[in-house]
Amino acid sequence: MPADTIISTSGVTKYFNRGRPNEVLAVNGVTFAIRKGDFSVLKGPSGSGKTTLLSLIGCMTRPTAGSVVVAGRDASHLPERFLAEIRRKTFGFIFQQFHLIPGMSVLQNVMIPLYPTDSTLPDLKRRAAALLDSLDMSKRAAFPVQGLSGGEQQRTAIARALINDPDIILADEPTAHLDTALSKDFMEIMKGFRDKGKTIVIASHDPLVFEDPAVGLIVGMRDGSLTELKRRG
Amino acid sequence: MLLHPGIIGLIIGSGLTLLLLFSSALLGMQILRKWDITSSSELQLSLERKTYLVSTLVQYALLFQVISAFLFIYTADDMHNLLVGAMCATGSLNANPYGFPALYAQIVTLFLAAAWISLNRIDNRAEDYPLTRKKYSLLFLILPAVTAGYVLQLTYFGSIDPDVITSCCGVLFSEGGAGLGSSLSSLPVRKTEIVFGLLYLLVIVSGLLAARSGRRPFTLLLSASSALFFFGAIASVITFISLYFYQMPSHHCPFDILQSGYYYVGYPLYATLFAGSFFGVMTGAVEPFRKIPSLAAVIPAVQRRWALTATVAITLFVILSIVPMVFTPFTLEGY
Amino acid sequence: MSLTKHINILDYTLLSLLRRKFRNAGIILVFSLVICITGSVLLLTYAFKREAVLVLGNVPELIVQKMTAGRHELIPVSLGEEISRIPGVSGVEPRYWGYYFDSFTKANYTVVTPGGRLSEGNKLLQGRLPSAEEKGVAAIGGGIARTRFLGIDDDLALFSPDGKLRNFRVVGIFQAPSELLTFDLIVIGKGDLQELFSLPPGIATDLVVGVRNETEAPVIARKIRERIPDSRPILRREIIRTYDAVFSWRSGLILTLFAGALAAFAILAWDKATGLSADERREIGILKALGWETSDILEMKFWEGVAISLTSFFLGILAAYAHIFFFDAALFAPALKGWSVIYPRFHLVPFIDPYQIATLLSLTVIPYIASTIIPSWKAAVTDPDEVVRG
Ligand SMILES: Nc1ncnc2c1ncn2[C@@H]1O[C@H](COP(=O)(O)OP(=O)(O)OP(=O)(O)O)[C@@H](O)[C@H]1O
Ligand SMILES: [Mg+2]
Repeated sequence: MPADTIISTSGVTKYFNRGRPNEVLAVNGVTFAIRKGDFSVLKGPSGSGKTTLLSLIGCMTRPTAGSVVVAGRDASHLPERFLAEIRRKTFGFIFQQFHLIPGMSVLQNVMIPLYPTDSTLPDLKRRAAALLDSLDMSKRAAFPVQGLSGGEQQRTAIARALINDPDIILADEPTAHLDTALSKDFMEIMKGFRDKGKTIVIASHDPLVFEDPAVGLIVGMRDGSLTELKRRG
Repeated sequence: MLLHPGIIGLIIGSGLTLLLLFSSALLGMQILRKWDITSSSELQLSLERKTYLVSTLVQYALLFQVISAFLFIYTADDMHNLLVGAMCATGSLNANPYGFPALYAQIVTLFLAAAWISLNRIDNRAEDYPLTRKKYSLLFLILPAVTAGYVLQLTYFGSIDPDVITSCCGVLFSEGGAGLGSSLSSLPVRKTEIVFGLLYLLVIVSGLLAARSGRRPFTLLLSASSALFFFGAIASVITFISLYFYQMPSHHCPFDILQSGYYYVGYPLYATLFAGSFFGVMTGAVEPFRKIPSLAAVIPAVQRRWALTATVAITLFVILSIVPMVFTPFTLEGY
Repeated sequence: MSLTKHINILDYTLLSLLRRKFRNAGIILVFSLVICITGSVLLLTYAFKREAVLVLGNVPELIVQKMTAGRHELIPVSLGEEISRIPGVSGVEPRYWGYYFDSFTKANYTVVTPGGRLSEGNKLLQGRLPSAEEKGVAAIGGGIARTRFLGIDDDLALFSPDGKLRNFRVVGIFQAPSELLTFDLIVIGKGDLQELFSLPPGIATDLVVGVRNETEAPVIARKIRERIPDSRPILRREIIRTYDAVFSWRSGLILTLFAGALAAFAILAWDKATGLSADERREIGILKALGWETSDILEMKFWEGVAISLTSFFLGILAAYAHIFFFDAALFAPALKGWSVIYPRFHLVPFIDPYQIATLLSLTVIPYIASTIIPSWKAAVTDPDEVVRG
């Protein structure tokens, strides 16, 4: 395994409702590695297990078997308490539905990941404001999130994913709710972060995403299993 | 007798404490039986989630227990009007043989619940939760204490007989009487003061050494000396400290200082004493866990912080208790 | 150990409570009402108890009454001599007093002679006290002055048992820190009182026994009973005890009846907390996915409980305080006092202490918080993975 591996899975398997009639094998013995600075895409048809694999990598759920090693730390047997810590310190998440919290302002939404830490609120506000500024969102900082356009919501979600200065950015179907122009904008923003040394993992079946020349690693999936592992460029 | 607002409050308040601790012990039993940290089964996941419930239950129980303990003392104090010969809580608690044991059981519950929470905090910092077994076994030690506290307290109130003449602090804590209370108050003032001072010196020295180095002999010494200090301090409150607050040479009541007449000085006094002694004792009590690899890095830092907390709290207690000796003309010389 | 994290979580909790202000305001409203009613019962009880202590502070250490057929009878003054021979007794004094039912205001007045301790400790608002030998003059309590529209130098008309109308010139009106005591009081000379109640000479209402050493009072009381079997010695302590027990018992009873309402409220709280809305579940899932830990969510739920119960507690106890001490317990004064039409106009001395607060906390906040523990935990262990799939 190369020294700059940041995420590696080995035989990672995830069952839902194990042992019950509605048992689902969502991810089936997947082994692969992502290097630091990779721009990678998990691609595959609907139901192939992309989201599940993404949340296994993101330490949001524990594998039924196999292991997930993130930044040198085996996360597969850690108690939840420590998984949360890894999530907070290592990952920035951008969800398919954006998952902003309605009723709160853009600025407050961006601050959320760092509330349960020892950064003071004024400090947090400063960081959130600076991030929004870099994404051309400062004029919307005090707006409640429910009034935002789709593109603005996504920028808010991006700012939120970056507030903890994560090494790895995970995005699930980020372009599903955007038109072509906004999707391209999104890819540009991601490239910018890749250039700053961040590792990017996107789950998507949108050709606009996985055919982008900037994408360096393609992980293809079908029915929970790995079908393709292609490094480009 | 049981239809007194304070007693109804206790039946509900400490009844809920009991309920919380009972449920946490039941959950603890489940966890103990099936716990397997290496498994990633759904069962283990659900047990892991239950540990959060247990710690929440115990934490709330501790909070409720603090309120109930005060309520118990207050209610006993309020009872003194009903009891011939009782002038304050001491007299009421003495009205039948259940009063003081009920109080002791409550104090023990307080300490045990606090100890459980501290253990839990430490345990949660190691990825393999090495103290799980010890922790959940400790729950079974808390159970008898809290049950005893509840039952004794109800028995106490249930069997209060207003016609029996009780002995009050005047008698119980007076120089002439027999029994533990009066043997405390009739301790010679000078000698008690000296012992109190020496114990404090011991706490300070071992506390500062433990806080600086976190090394084994000092933490153990701090444990022992703060335990001794706790009892010494209670004896001193009865023998001489309270008298300076009351400005009366023979009023040996450890409870009246909780009243408004004495500016509620009892609250900070007992809070600092309890917290200080607790952290002092805990510093040495966690010594064996240093051997556990996943805790080896955690424990010494925790010990040093606790040692410092204990030293500071006990120092505050000592300062509070000598303020009236220094700033009021009242003196116990000759008593 | 830093507090910053906890302050941040508290800050977030308050933000999140404000977002659901209507629902939370509803809970706070109901909760404060529960606390207000419970608190009123408690405050009233303790105000009464204190009042009783103030009142009974003036009562002599030991009183001797005569009993006939189990009822209080007038007592021959001559018995005093026998009592004063008991060692430890410093003196015996007859007291003359009685109740006068005024059919005009439908109220009972307490009529006493001056010098008795009942009239001693109380300040006169205006005028002076009549002396024991004086005839045709009276000092009256503020309640009587108000209900009968009397001022200084007006005439107070009372009927004696033979139906004759007697007039007393008002020379003084009482004021007292505690109006319960002097509210219905009339002070007139000894001769006037004997005539008003048609008391035969040599007979008093009861005897006040002076005791050299207070702690010996119970012993002396026993000796009096032994020597004069039809006497009933009453110790001040005993009166205080009775009052105390009665007040505690009454409020205990009310609280027990009220416990049903409390339980209903706890169930409501449980229901509110368990019926976690889809929105809230989603919010918690998002927080957890973004790196909040289960115990952070539990802490947030703790702050939520603290914020709601403290707000309700302060509102409730302020309302109870105003109800009892500014509005004179308007809601349930009749139930607790009951027997005199003048009483509803009394003012109680404001009084609140940590004991009442601890009792009230145990009766209201603890059940509320306890009922939210399990629902909060259920919310806190929400699986972040569920939210991510949207
Ligand atoms: N919590 C769950 N309980 C039961 N089955 C689940 C659960 N989550 C996912 N699954 C199943 O696991 C399989 C993989 O789901 P997953 O969401 O990972 O697919 P996906 O590739 O992300 O699909 P899409 O492109 O539609 O988002 C699906 O068959 C899904 O129904
Ligand atoms: Mg998906």
